[in-house]
Amino acid sequence: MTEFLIPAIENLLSIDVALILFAGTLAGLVVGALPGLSSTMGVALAIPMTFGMDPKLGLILLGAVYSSSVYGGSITAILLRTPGTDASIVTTLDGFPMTKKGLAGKAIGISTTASMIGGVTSTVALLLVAPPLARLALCFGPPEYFLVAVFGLSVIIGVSSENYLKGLIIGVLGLLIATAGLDNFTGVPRFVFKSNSMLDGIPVLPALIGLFSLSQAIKLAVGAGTTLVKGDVTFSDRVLPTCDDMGKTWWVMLRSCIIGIAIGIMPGAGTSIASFLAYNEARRVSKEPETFGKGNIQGVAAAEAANNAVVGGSLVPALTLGIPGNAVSAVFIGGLTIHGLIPGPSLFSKYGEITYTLILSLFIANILFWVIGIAFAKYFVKIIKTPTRILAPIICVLSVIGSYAIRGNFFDVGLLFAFGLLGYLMERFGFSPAPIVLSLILGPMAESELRRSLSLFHGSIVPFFERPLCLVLIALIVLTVGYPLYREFRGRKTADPTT
Amino acid sequence: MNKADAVIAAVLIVFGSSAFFVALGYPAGSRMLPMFYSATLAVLSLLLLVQSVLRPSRRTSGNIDEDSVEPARKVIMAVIFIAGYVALIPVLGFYFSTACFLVSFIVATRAARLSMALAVSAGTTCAIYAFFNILLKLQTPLGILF
Repeated sequence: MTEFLIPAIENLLSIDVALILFAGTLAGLVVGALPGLSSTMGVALAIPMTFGMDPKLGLILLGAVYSSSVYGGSITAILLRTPGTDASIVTTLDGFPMTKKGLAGKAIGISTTASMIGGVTSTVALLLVAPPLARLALCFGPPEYFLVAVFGLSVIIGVSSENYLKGLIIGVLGLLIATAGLDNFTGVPRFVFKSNSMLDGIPVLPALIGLFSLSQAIKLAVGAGTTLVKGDVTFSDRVLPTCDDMGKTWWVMLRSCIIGIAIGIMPGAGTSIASFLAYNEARRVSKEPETFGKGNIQGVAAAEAANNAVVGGSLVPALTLGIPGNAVSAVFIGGLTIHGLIPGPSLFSKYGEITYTLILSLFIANILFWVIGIAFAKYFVKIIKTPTRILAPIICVLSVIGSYAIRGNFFDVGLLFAFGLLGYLMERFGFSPAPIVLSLILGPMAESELRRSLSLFHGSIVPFFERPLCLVLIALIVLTVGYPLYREFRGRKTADPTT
Repeated sequence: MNKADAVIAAVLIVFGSSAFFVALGYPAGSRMLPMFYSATLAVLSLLLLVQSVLRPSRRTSGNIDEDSVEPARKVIMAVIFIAGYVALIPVLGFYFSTACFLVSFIVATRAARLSMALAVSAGTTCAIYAFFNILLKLQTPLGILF
């Protein structure tokens, strides 16, 4: 690791990196602050902008957008009770009551600081946990990689808690779509419908941009409101947290960081779950639990530290094993692959300099959004006054150029449109688009590793149950799939005492 | 009965079954997973169909709050606009189509007056040209006319 750290630090000491970090942080803050635009969409739209860049700069941009967009959602959550992203739902519970008490600046200050501490702590965890995990992945053969892909796919259960059946249907549909194109083993074209553009299969990025960006643009274009939020968004109290504020919250922040990192590493559980858990924990151990929900500064600190701690945590399995823990890291993996970087041990050896540059840049991105947040939070709220029907067509245009730039093939723009429409319809009828993304990314890996394993073991699946690492992975899969289902079953039983 | 889910399930059953029969024509190794996935899709969709028929219809279906569902007319209009934009690009080229799309969309949705729409359109198109073509040197789709 140390041999890559010095070159990585040198890489960061350039004006290009400073500009990219600033631009990425600013863009992430805007995307995060705008309700309706998610971190996933921000990263998806940023990917095409990285095509012409050096991979290091491109990944730094994506990392900065990811980190700052998770924080950006807290600004509107505190000032307007309208969380910019899912991650900030819990922040509204105490952030908005603080605003009503005339303490908006204080709430913004502590949320910005907690987010920065969460982000920095999780980046330390990423730096310490990812390299040993990547070394472990060196021991993996095709059966282990197949099970890693299945483990990643088991995230579908986690992200489909509202309707498991619909989540599974969309996941399987994604797997089926992922089989389209030339079969790498036999050279047989599958589901290509005589189109040469389909021979390479469905390109992941136009699909991602369609599902997360174009679908949201359609939603914004047809939504009822002319602006994203209404209300008075001015405040004048001090933003920079005082020593007293920090003294009241540092322990809560630290505990929430640990919760956020653990949740981030776990597949399927996202930023909103982390902030809910951290908030509950802060309230549980508080001497004044009755003040939570009425403007307790610890509530804001807990939620924000936890949701930003998820960022570094979610990148641990994404960078080391190629398992996206949530939709944003799935898109992030898409960003890595277009630069020819395949998640896995090689990222920490062959491409170590790029990977460590990315990781170290996350430290700077977190500090940068703290500076920008503390200094300019009150101006960010003006951006949310942008009319949605002006924002929507601009997102459409960026989506089109983004999907075309990947291969210079207009067929991809057609795919973007199809997936955009599909994503809109899926959301409208209660289907989450996240499972299809996981399937498109992990489906080809699952198929190739399964077939490689079967050919290695002459068609037998017995070795899957004999190799120690395989058994560990099988246990993890059973746990990931079984626990949410068990929890659901328990919940239903508690809700219906007659059963 | 939840009609929306039932219709979606029926469509997916047809899709899954068709994919299954198409996959039957592939060689043994190539068809293994497509057949497995398409059969699973059909079976899961059948379960959704049964669930949607047996469950009583509720005010909220799935994740949708029906009060917040956008009017179909507006959705169709937005989709036609975007489809028209995508169709125009190979003819007019990226920049001219983009400028036309932005002006017409903003004016049609009454987001702003024509002067504002023209300003947004010109500003966005120039910014995209400067960023993608000049700074990043990325190619944009060319049309027959431009």
